[in-house]
Amino acid sequence: METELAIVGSGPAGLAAAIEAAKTGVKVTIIDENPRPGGQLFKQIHKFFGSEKHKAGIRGIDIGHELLEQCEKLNVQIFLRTEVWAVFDNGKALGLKHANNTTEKLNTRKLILATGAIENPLAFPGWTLPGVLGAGATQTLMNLHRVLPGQRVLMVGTGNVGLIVSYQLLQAGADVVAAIDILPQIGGWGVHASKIRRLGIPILTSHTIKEAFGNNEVKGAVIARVGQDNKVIPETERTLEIDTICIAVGLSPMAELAQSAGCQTIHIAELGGWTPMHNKRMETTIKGIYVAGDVCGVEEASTAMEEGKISGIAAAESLGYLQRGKAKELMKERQESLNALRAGPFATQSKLGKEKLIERFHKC
Amino acid sequence: MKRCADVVIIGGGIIGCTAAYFLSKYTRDVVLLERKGIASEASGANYGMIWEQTRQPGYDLTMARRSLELYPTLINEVFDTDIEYEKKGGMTVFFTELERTAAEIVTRSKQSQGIPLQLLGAPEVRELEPALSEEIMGAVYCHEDAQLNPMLTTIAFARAARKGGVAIYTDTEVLSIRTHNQSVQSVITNRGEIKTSIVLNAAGSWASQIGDMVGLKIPVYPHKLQSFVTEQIPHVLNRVIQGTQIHRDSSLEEAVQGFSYTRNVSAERPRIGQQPFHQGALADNTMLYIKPTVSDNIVCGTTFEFVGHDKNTSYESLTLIAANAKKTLPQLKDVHIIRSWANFDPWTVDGIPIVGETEIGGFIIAAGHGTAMSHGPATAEALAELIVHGKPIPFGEQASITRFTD
Ligand SMILES: Cc1cc2nc3c(=O)[nH]c(=O)nc-3n(C[C@H](O)[C@H](O)[C@H](O)COP(=O)(O)OP(=O)(O)OC[C@H]3O[C@@H](n4cnc5c(N)ncnc54)[C@H](O)[C@@H]3O)c2cc1C
Ligand SMILES: Cc1cc2nc3c(=O)[nH]c(=O)nc-3n(C[C@H](O)[C@H](O)[C@H](O)COP(=O)(O)OP(=O)(O)OC[C@H]3O[C@@H](n4cnc5c(N)ncnc54)[C@H](O)[C@@H]3O)c2cc1C
Repeated sequence: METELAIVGSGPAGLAAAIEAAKTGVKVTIIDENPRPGGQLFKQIHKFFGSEKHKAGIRGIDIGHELLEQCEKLNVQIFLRTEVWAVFDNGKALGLKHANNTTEKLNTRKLILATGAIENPLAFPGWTLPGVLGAGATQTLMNLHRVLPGQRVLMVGTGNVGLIVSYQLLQAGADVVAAIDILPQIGGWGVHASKIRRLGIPILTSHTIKEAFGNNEVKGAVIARVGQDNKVIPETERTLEIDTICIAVGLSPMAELAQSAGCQTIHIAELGGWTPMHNKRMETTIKGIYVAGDVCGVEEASTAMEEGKISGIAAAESLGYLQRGKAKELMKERQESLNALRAGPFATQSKLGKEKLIERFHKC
Repeated sequence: MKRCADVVIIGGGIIGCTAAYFLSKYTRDVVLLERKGIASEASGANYGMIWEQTRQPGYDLTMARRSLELYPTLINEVFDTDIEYEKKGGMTVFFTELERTAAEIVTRSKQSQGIPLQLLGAPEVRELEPALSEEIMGAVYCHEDAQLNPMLTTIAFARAARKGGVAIYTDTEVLSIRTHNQSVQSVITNRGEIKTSIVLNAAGSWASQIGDMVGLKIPVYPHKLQSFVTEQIPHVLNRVIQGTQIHRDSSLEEAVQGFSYTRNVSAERPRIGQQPFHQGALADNTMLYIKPTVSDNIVCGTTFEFVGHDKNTSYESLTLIAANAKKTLPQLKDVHIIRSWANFDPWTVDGIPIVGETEIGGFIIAAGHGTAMSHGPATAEALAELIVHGKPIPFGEQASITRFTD
């Protein structure tokens, strides 16, 4: 099979990249392992924050529909239930595994990796018991598959993901017994925190989970206060009767494909860990392989879309579908938009991280 | 960095690290130089089979046997980390009548060399390995064969060497070697010069580039092998399984040679510059290996290519390996591949490594090993005896570089 631009991942980054490139006439093929396109978007039933220009006020799921519609109009080819299991020849070929368990080689001229991020695990005695699950997985179960994983939930982690999923659990009819965080302050935005507080969910900072217990499934958990050294303060243990523990302790870029393709990576804590290095055009250390979205720094759907667009424009230009001047102009617009997104008070970390990343790219 | 040393070892693979450890018993003045990190090439990329069944009589078998003796002692007395050593026997499985006939011949001849091979029928194979395919006709089995984790093993030797006083410098590349009157004087690296009168070339498939630095042609070529590892699966396989390199249209003579990768040593004397044979289709250059790791991820290989030091993996190779592996262990059908890689078997024309002194004074070679996880400890022991006591290497003439020129 042949294409001009292959995109791995149909989240906001991949879809936005596809649209931008297909608009100029590039033949685009998207591959995603899920039965539905959209990446994280379709489980995000809440309204996004930020400026209107960046789709604030719109729910993730609606953004997803909008992007898909555009892809359809532009004849973007989307392979679903298809895994990319390897990248060959410096990004010029992919190994695909289709839903029917056959493999196929996809030859391509350019490649965009928009594989997103993966939830971080947290190890404690009992962490492998059924009933301990990721907050993102919980969101998928509830909002996509309409399954409530349990009735009494302990949320571990109070970043935005932990706070939003706590709220959605309440909406879905579960009881969130507590949301805890080892840090002395809440990680996520104040608006989200006060929303769930108003609904009666206690938020316990400087707290950690000591263990989960139960024979074949979670029956309860022991939580405790921690001191400044993050160690448990003796005799502050408390037992909670619960059946579900949601782990929301951050995400890490899913950079394995990029790494195995040979793209150089760098560890940047602000971006969630090991990330492929890239320049302002989103091109990695291997010419013709681009990255966009959470795979090169865990941020948000809005930034993922902007990065996706930039990578799409860059790929279209290098394929000869966009004139240099035009591409420059388009990219400048997108870059300004991205800067605006990262100018917010909550984005200082990722802005810092991205600056480091791009600086390192130019050094090597 | 040290400015002089009794011995400078080039290469931090299994050969360099075992040599460093054995030498450290006699002298504290050993330096090991490694361009990347310990075990970052072939010694970190292989299947860790410590097999006797595939060895050729003479030098090859002697080294393999001695290492099998040495490992348990090293594990008990020297290493401070686990190397996942397991003596579970090794199995070469076959699917066709032709292979069975070849297996009978090979088994008989190896038994006469004192290698305890057994020919197993299908029921016996499945008794040992219930998950293997029903299509398997039988297997050659050797209960002496063991396996280990190659990366952990190489690192364990490096740690032991360091404890013994060896200075190990990683990220240090040898750029040239200074000689005077046909004798080694010093080694020049990207981090400076080290004076020494003895250099051990343990650069694996890069040994010929090191040879060029002293004007010596060393006929070692990079033989590229591709591999992948699967996700963790339930425990279904107990030991490493190997296939044969026999094709449907092989003659019986070819089949016997192709069995277990045995090469005909009695063939015409090998020569310097004798190039690796030309290949033909990749599909005709595959050989099955499936290795269960201690965590039950399954390592699968391989295909053979001569393409220089090109480390890319290819769709064609990985799908061939997957098809072979699935044919042998059907439960691999729905299992994910999590990583793939390529590395280089340091290849010589007769399958015997090049070990020993050379016409350049103080320039010693220990390279070209197809099975250095197996040969390593014994080779290092012999090298230390050679360097420190001037004792000749057992069956040394078979491994000497002079076999290509005399
Ligand atoms: C609970 C939660 C709430 C959030 N709320 C907001 C919010 O309010 N506002 C906001 O802007 N952002 C929010 N985000 C963040 C946002 O969802 C992500 O930043 C965004 O989805 C990243 O987009 P992406 O395209 O990079 O990756 P993803 O959306 O993760 O898409 C990547 C896709 O690639 C696929 N894939 C990966 N590897 C392969 C492979 N080898 N083969 C085939 N397919 C593959 C994945 O299955 C996935 O479908 C939230 C995230 C979470 C978890
Ligand atoms: C896929 C595969 C499977 C295999 N399976 C087995 C098996 O099951 N059992 C077995 O016994 N053997 C096996 N082998 C063979 C085994 O891997 C080799 O025999 C062994 O690793 C060779 O060790 P070495 O130390 O000679 O070379 P290497 O491990 O390659 O080490 C050489 C080192 O020299 C360094 N170097 C090179 N040039 C320079 C320089 N200029 N300056 C400084 N350093 C330099 C390199 O960076 C490298 O680290 C297998 C090989 C492969 C590829």
